[in-house]
Amino acid sequence: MATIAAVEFNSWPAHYNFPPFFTLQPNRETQAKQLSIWIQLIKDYASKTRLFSIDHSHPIFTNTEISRSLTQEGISTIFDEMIRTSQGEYVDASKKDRIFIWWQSKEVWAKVLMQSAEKGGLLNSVATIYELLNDHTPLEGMEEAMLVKVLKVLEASGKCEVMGGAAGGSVEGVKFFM
Amino acid sequence: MGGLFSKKKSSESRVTEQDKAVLELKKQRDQLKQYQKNILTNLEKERELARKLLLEGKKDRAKLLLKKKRFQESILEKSEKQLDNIDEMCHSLEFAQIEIKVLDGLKSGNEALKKVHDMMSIDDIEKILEETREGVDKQNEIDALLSGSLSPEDLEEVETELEKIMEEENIQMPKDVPLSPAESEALSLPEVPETPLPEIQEKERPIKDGKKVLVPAS
Repeated sequence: MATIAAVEFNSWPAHYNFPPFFTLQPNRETQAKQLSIWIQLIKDYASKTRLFSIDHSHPIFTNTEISRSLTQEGISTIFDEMIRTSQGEYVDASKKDRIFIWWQSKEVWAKVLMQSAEKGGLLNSVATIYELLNDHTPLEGMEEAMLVKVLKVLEASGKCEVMGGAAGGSVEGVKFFM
Repeated sequence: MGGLFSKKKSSESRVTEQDKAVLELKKQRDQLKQYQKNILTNLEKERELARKLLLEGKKDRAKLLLKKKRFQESILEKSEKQLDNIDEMCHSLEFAQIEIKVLDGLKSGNEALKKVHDMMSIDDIEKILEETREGVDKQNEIDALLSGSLSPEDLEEVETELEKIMEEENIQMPKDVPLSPAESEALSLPEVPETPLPEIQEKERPIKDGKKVLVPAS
């Protein structure tokens, strides 16, 4: 699960070194602004380093330079906000400790996947989940559960059919259609 | 074809048994690929380890390790062949499915053609052609009847009228029309030279009895 960031993230915004940024703001309006900045930062970070999920212990929530870190409550608030605005999704809704980051919406991912399937000549044929996540596809490195969610979007519009996954089994492959 | 069913989320699956087989094969392929990846990283590690052992002077252990490495390499080769086999199988399965589709296409095309042919049977065509011929015949008959309705006297009259008209034309247009003065003026021809022609030396001609005699042209 621990995806090591291959690319160094170096576009930290100025407010990352601003101590109050790491304290959940009591004022509702200020907090809303703070949350949206945090979410933007997480999404930028995730898209640059191709991080697909994040949990409470991620180093992004701690700035050693100014020795500040966001509280568990703060992180949970951010996660909740991300989920509310469908920019995130619990990996395990019963634990709520880790969320998927949709730095690109499911629908956009679906489009990207479909385009790559068309280019790769995968239409009207079967592809495995492993194949979609490993062979230098645009979705490389994405977590399986996320890919399945993207596939469900495509399936709803009749562009593909997910194979396997019935009766609680894991999704094994997908067939793309024109 | 599938597009028709895509809107309503029908319970009818578009995934065929063959697709499932292909998926199984591809899963096998993925496993092999993963296995290869493992072996490759292992090989790299072991080579490093063997080098280290050699540096430490543990020649026997290094040798053993290299043997193991060699064995893994042979496995890698085998798996490569299996991968090829699987890929081939996948392709032939997929291609067979495409062939079925092509066959279906040909079949439906054939049926459509048959239907069109049924719509115009040979009998119909013969009947139509027959009718056309009859029509032409009838038209000819009508023509004959119409022209035949003139009496012989009428025809004679027609002849005389035609002759009359032709005569009139002749009178109006005599064969040699003299040119009007204006016309002859416009027609200026070069003048005839007035100087006498130089004397031509007369060739010897056979003269008989002082008279000129015709000579056959040579």
